[in-house]
Parts: sequence; C-alpha cells; structure tokens
Amino acid sequence: MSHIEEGKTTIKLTALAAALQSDPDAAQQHPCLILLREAVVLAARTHGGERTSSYLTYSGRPQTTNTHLALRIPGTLPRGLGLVIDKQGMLTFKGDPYGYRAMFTQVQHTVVRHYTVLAYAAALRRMRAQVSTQVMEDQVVITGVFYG
Amino acid sequence: MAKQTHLTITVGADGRVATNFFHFAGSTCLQTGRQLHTLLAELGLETEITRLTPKPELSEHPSALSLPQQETIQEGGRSDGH
Repeated sequence: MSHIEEGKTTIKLTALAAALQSDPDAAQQHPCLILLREAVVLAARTHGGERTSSYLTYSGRPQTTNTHLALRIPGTLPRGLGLVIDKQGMLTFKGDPYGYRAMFTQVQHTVVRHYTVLAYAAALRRMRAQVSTQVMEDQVVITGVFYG
Repeated sequence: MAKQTHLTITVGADGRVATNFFHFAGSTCLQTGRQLHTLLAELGLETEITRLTPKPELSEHPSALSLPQQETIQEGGRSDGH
C-alpha cells in the first residue's frame, strides 16, 4: 500500500532552545544546531555569500546571536542577517534589511528550505534508507530507498 | 525505479512538502510516515499534513487512514525521476 502526503513544515527547535538557555557552549554541538549551521553554509553558497558569526547594524557594528550563526552576501546583503532561536524554539532572523529587503526575505526562505531538506535527509538515514537529493529549479527532491 | 520500497519528498520554494510512498506492503506506508514525522519532530521540523491521497490498494482499507479519504490516483502516474 502507498499514498501521497502533502503538507507544510514549520521549524520549531524547542530542545535546542532549552539547550541554548541551560548550556550555550554545549548547545553548539546539538544535532539541530549542526544542521542549522550546514543550512546557513548552503544558503550562503546559494547566494554567493559566506557564513559568519555576526551580522552588522546599519552603522556597521557587528552583532552576535545565541546561535552564533549569521551570513553576509557582498553587494546584495552586505550587512547580513543573524539567526536567533527564541525561548519557544522558533527560528527568527535579525538584521537591518534597509535597502536590501527583498534579498533579506529571500535568504530567510533559502535557509529554511535547506534546513528542511537536511532534516528530511537526516531522518531518512536514521530509518536506514539510502538517501539522495536532486535540485530541480524551484524544488528539491529527496529520495529514500529502503533495502532489506 | 523497480519495485523497491522507497519514498520521494519534494520540498517546494514556498515550504510546502509532498511525500510520495512507493511499493510499501500493507499499511507500512502509514507506519513509515509516522516514524518519519516523529524523527523530524526530534529535528525541530513540524509538518502539518493538509492532504493525504491513498493509492488504489490503500484506499481499499479506509480504516487504516486517520484522515478523510481523497481521490485515488493511479500508482506510477507521478514521476519521481529516478
């Protein structure tokens, strides 16, 4: 038997939020933060930027967040944006998007999509599936094959 | 892909996700789906299923479904590109 499921995903990192509050240093090795870090790297690469540990205010002052994750894109998002996990585990983005609002929004979506793909791939591997991914225009297709 | 148990997950630019299950025996597709969602929750990903479309063989056992039945489709009618 088989079926098709359609739905919408929300990132809610409650365990990571708790870890960041209780032991911020140890939380840097939390599996979700490791995935989030990878998502940021991929998102930065997608847009020709780089992962950083801080974003910049309008006056150029570096600001850090509780995740120590940020990214900047020369030319299109020079001040960058930072990732924050609030007490409820919701992922939010901080920065000054003035003059770069469209890219500020687009990069957020890119980070969320990369995290979604990475999480699905990780979950499938935990289920002992052989995982492959394929990027197709505006979509990413993840395939999980179960042997034995 | 031959008759190998597998699934494909399509992640759209708008955050919508479609998961297609192929060649699962009995109601194991539903069990696999639940296991997947449990693991995703551990990774901070909550999925709200907005539609579940059983393939012909699953639609013969509506009691296995916890969501309202939707229209059935022909298995293999959705290309997974693999």
